[in-house]
Amino acid sequence: MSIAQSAPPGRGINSEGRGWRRVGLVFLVLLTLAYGLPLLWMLGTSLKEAGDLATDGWLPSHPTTAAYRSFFATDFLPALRNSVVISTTTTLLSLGLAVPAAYGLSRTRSRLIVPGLVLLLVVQLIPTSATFIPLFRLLAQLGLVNSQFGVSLAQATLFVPFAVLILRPAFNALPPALEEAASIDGAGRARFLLRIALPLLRNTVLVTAAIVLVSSWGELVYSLTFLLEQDKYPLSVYIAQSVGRFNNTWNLLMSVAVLASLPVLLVVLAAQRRLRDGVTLGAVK
Amino acid sequence: MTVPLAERSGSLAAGDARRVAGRPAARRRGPSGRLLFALPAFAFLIVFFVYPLGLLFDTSVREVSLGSAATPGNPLVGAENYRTVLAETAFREAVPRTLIFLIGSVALQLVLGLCVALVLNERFRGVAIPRFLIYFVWLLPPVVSGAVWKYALDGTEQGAVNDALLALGVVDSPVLFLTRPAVALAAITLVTAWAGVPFVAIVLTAALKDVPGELYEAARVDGCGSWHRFRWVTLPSVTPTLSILGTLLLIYSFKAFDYIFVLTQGGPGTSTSTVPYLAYLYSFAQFDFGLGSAIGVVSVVTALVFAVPYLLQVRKEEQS
Repeated sequence: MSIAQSAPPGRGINSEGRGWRRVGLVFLVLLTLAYGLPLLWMLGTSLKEAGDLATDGWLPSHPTTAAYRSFFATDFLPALRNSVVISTTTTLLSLGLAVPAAYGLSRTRSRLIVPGLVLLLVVQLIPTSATFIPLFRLLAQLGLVNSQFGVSLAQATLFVPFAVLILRPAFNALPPALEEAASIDGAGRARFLLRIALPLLRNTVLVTAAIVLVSSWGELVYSLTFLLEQDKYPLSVYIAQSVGRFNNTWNLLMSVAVLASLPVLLVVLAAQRRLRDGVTLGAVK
Repeated sequence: MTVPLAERSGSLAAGDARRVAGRPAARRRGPSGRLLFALPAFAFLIVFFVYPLGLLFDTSVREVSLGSAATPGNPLVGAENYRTVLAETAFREAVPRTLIFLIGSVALQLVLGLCVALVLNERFRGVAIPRFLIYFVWLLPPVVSGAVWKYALDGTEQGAVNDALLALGVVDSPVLFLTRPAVALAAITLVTAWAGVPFVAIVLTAALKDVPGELYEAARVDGCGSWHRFRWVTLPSVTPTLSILGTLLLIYSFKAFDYIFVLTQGGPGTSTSTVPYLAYLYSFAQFDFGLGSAIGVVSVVTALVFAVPYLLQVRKEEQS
């Protein structure tokens, strides 16, 4: 191994071997194709004419926005409104519970912390296809079956633990002197949380809210089982049920899929780097 | 931020004396008062998670139909539902199938996720495009990616995959990807992995960034080639993350519902249903909540067993 071959320090593991770099490059191209082509296929199909679906290749031969214009006549708009209602309610509910909880669980040495954290983790690990049965019974007892608020309550059980686990380290990282100073100035805990901690942790809270929002936006199991009437379904259920139903109008369905991905596109464009920090903290720490 | 802090610390001594004198002990900053802030969230989880878990067990020992789900006092049948489930061919066949699905999907996600993380960390020109795609697909609603793949894997010339395979001359007639049981299970496994790899890659990219550059430097000085640096520096550094991810992926894959529902609805028959998915089928296709709940209890216990190493590790980290 000659000195001439060696790359500058800190460039990762493949920086030296030319061969490895070539392998990496090929893999990178394959990766881009594996994730880009299905998305291109979705977009391309949504721009096809219904009559061209069987004959066209991957891309539309006569690009048209017909699919996008026609679904304004279908039950797409109610589904879109339902998705907005459910996901905003879920996000507000989840963050409203999780922010104080994350603060309450931060920087304390109580013996209740470990059992509390274990409960939060366990909630996330239990299959939703098992919990929806008793939740259905509970919501039925509360008169909340076929109610979008019932769906939000059920979804919040998934997102409260997630949000607490992401936000708690952020609260832990605030300098203790900050809270002491606030306390000396006469600010109670609630005021410290709202006026000092929250503005400081604004970005972390916003990213957490964004992840909860798009997750709720795409949530299927609870929306599918707790809502009994077509006009209450959110987009996720609308798509899932349409997949089996209209076999010949894939251009319509793909246009709905494209629109359903727009919130995700916005979130990723706005906060790609912060998302990584969020998911890393929430998942592994 | 520093300016107001400095101002405040100036008045620290005077303020301190005033507060300590004027305030009842209960308002002093003890850990217990702080915990009260977590009370609403935990009360919520007890009502909407812990209580339902109890209800799941209760339902599993009763005969409950859709019509009687809301009313209490369904007839107790003891272990009858469990005996029925264990005797069902659908359940017996679902157990090994679930294991195959889990092993396949977790292995694919770990191996591919690590490869993706490694290339995304390299300074390739244009790496921003795949990186963006990875983040996008990570957050994409599963029903959306499921619907895209459902159409792409369509068993006619219309499906993109069949279209490509026919054009390349790999096959003579379209492959029925989603209607032939064994092929359909493989398709679900691959689609689940496709959708799961971004999460793994994102977590591992962060873990790779934390590996100290000096370690690579030292390995280089010792004359290690690329492979040896990967084997003796990179891999050991990310092994703790990989092991946590492995457990998490096992649990997440076990929870898989959306892709099965969208791609095959668990069929043909129940040939692509996993054990937790059967709980759904029995409850909402056969409307037998008792049987569904018995499978639900089995799924919950299995998930908890999978979770034990993860929970132990979390507890250890929290206590240290």
